[in-house]
Amino acid sequence: MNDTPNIKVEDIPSMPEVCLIRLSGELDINSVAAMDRCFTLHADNSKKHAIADLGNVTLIASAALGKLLGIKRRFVEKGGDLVLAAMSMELKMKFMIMGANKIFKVYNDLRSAMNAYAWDVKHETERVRISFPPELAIVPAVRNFVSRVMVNKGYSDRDSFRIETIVDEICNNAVQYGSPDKKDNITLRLKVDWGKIELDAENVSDADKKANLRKHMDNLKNNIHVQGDATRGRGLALVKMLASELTAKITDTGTMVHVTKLKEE
Amino acid sequence: MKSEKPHLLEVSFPGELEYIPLVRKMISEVLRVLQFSEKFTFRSEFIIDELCNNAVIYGSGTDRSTVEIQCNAFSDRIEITIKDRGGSNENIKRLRQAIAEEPIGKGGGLELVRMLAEKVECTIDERNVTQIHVVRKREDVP
Amino acid sequence: MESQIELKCEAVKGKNEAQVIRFVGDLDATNVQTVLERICNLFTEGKIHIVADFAKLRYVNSTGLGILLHLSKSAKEKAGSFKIANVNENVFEIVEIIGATSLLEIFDTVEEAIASLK
Repeated sequence: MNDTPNIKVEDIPSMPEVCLIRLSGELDINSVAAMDRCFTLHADNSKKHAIADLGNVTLIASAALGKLLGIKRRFVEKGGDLVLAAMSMELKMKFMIMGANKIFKVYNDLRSAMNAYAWDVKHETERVRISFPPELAIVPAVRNFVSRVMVNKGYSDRDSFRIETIVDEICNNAVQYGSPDKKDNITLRLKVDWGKIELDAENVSDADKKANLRKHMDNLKNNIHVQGDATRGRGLALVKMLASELTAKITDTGTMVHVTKLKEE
Repeated sequence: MKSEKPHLLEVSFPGELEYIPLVRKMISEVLRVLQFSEKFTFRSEFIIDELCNNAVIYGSGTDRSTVEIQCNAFSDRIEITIKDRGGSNENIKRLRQAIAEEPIGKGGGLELVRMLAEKVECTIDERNVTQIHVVRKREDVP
Repeated sequence: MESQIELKCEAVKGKNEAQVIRFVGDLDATNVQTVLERICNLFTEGKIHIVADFAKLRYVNSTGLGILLHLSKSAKEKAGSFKIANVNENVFEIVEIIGATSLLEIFDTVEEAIASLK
């Protein structure tokens, strides 16, 4: 859609309810009518949210800012918002002097704006995969990472700590009872949702260890308590207490432990 | 360079800036565990940060793809590969310029990566997947 | 959510237009906006001479350095200054590599930076 030289409204294929407003050049009083026309023409009612890409804007006068505010109001009335992205540092400073940073949400780049919408509004799942060498000394770095991800995603410190403990236990098990020659990496997959996290820890294993895991899972299922001198099982028992769901699968090459933890706080 | 099996760390994460500090910290913690020096670890963290920032900011603007980073730690070096679905033609051109040691005016992370690394290579395939490969040698190994 | 950075502001005795800001944490692309906002507010309040204490600043990337250069330029435009002190070895090396040592006013200590204020 080519409307005027410095305003374009586009669809985002992966987010049909969001419109992308690309602005460029100097946005002054002369741009106001064009912005209004363009927006009215292209942003139909199916658009609930808008992201304005200001990456190529060199100047924004108060009249144009006022127009953006008007457009923002229209989206807010529909339950959405107009957010701004990709401003240059110079423009950001001018924005702050005008006090506009208190009115508009500003993102460093377009992708951050889209991802924030996907998480905060649509509550879309985020996926992370980590593959790491089967060494105990590396597990703390992995669990710290997962804990920090959870905090970033709005989980409480307490919930994040519990998830960190779960990650620690299942990764430690994967290292200690996994690949016999320590050559094969462990894979940890996270599916982070607004209300829960799902973890899958997969490792290579031999027949003895697979049988051992199966035995411990059966014990847990039947509420058979871990014996005081048992060499394995305490970690899984702890995970079972902390998690909403714990299952294990024996694969051709090894084992996969699946944990679901609901957000509690 | 010696032939040996490296320690391999791979992370695939959503193309969001907020993940980058977490990813670089995890990788730098792993490098410390693998006995790389503090200085080496810091510079590697910096390289990873710049590569990831570029992947997020200049990668695909409207396609919420993931960023994949692979770190191979050998005894004398690390090799970092980062993959992302590429962005606009303008950004791809900018990337090629930065890799080819041409000044790009705005300065920026990739020029710094080039200064800190022994080798920086970039490939872009027919699906627009951009891959940057960086080799950084340990300072204390001749 | 941003990488953690904390900015602690302190007045400078006898210099109303000056402020010491102690940076704690990492300065990267996720939190430059916060830093920019905070320091812009100080400029608006008339605090045009800023001494940034980097004793507890562990890490900075090119985006972070970019903001420091920008703030330095903005301060000068207001007839003020933006001085940096206590830069750790790792961060200093990055500043050096980027070629910013001649563009930023860097001091060994906060006291030296304050003493250089006009």
